[in-house]
Amino acid sequence: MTSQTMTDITIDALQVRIQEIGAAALTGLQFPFVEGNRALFVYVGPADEVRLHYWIFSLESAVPFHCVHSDVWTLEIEIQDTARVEYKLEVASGGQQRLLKDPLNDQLARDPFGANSVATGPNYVEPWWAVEDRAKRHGKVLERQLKSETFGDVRPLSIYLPPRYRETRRYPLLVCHDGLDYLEFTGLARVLDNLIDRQEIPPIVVCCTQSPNRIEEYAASEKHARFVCHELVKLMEDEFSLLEGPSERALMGASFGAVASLHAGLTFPGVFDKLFLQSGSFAFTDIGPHGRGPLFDPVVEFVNGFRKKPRKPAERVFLSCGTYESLIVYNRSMLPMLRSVGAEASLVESQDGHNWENWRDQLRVGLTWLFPGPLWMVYE
Amino acid sequence: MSAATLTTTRPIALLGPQHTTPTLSSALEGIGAKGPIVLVAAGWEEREAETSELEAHIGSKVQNLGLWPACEAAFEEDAQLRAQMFVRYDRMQELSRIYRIRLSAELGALRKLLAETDPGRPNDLVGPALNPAFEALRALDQNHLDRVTEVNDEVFDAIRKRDAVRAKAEEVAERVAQAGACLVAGGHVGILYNRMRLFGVLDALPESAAIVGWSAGAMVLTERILLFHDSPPQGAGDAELHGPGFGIAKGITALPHAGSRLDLEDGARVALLARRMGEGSISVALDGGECVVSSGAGWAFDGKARVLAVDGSVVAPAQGESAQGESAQGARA
Repeated sequence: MTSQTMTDITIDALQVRIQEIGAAALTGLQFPFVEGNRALFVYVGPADEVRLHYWIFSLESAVPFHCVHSDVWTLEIEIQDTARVEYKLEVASGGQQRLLKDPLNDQLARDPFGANSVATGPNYVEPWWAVEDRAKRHGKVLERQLKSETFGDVRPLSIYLPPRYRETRRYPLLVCHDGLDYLEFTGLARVLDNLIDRQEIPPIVVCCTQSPNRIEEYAASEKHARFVCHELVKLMEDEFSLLEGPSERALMGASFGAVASLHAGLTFPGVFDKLFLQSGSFAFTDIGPHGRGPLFDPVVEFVNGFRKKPRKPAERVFLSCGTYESLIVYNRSMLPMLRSVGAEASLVESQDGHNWENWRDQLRVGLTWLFPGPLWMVYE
Repeated sequence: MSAATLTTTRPIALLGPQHTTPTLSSALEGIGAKGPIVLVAAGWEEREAETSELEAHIGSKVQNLGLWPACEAAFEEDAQLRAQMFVRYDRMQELSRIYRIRLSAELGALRKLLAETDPGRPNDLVGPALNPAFEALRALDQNHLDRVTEVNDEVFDAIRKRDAVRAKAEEVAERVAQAGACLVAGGHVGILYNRMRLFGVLDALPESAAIVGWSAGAMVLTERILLFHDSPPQGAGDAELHGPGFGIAKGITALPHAGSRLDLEDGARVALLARRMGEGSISVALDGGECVVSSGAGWAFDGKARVLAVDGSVVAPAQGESAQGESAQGARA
């Protein structure tokens, strides 16, 4: 069979063929093999058991493969249209268990803890503005070390200045929690370059901050809120040409970084009028324990307090969350609460999980909502 | 609002974008433009000096008025001027915000009403509500224009007296007064208008001098600058008035890049826009290679530029055909 005809094969025919001739049936094909909403995963090698590990809330997290031919294991799952699923294969052999990236799949997602294999639904499109450099001009990223009075130590900052940054102009400010990770794992600078180039957002200054102890500092810590709202904003205003006032400032973060952003907005109202909260860890309890471990205790206490007495944290709040995250429930519950206190709030859901590429893929919709660009003004 | 007429004798041409299908040269020839030629390219911002392609295309040198660097220099030199412009910017932003709140409501009402009837044969209850709804929308647009005009007049009158601006304005006036033709390039329409207004570019242009604008350059020459995009990354894509233009090109709304920015297949959107801007103004799609030129009391077409008609169609008047305000649209509606 030629590679051309192999690409035309149906998933049913492929499964039959694998049963007939084993691994030889895989030649020239990409895996997982996706046809419509069906995805076929394959593992080739000696094993006692093979399981698919993925992180999709409400689904079983370790799904067994079936051995259909000598050393060939397969598993078919349903995959949604625009899904991005990160996964690993668990291979048990001779009493040993190993978590592997899928050897038949080149698609990888990176994060601070390593890499996962990625499967995508038939209609998922990797956004060009996130992965391609099409901007005619590029911003620059300055490195700074901030001697923090609040924390009594030195904090690394990466500051994105837009293309053609000039002191004679004024710019909106975005402060980004886990900002160094955003730069590395979402390609934030490239995203900004592309969106600015397309006039979808205005030229903007972005202060990327990173905590050495995010689990504590981002968990609704007043000290951290003071650091961001007073120390960081002052430094940025002193050093760069920024538009004045809260309406031109946004604070963003993912996971605990979103908690820190919401908390800062509530603790020091009137500093940031815009919040961008990605996959916020807004765990709460209506009754009973939260079951997420002690690290979540201060977060749950904070969110419970917010739910009991909701206040407006900012004028505009943009939330994004993956539907494969358990956090989706908490994020959905935030929306009516935010609206009830007069905030203009929007939530975008994606068929994705708690990962950097999900957060990357939602940057455009969030940033353009918070900072509409001069697209309307430019007619070249 | 009565139907505007084009009473000027000045040769005027409004063109679509010039990147891929440059027609500037033939337009200049068509309206009999003579030199010297001055160029306003402030909408290109920091690329304003990049005129070699343009000069190669028209086969002639142009005098670039250099408004962009002049404004940057004035801002550097005069902090008070910069502050005044910042205040103007902030007020304009606030005016736009207020306008959008009302615009969203007026447009929403109109869309609902239009969806409830066939605008071509409106029913007896909804039909009579359409004209008042359009009038309310036009009144809102006019109110916004008036408020922006007021801010512009106040700020520009004050800052044009400042030393940092005056010297350049005098130099511009001297060069423009000698010009046989003035070219206004596209780019950022707000910046283009502001810089032209700041240095009074058109004040000294002789009545006999030809003027050619393309893309944003065409927009600023009209009476009203309409911003539009049917599928922006966010929002409903409600076309909105930015403010007044210089009013040299009367009775026309310039829609450069309409093919990519507007859904011209959507008859309801086309009809709404045409009727909103109508009553004295034709709405003209100006894509690459398309052009309209002043012709007596109306506008002559080159056979490609298209008019948005109140019946939702988009029609290309025949070459040389003249159109003027509502009558042209009415004929096609």
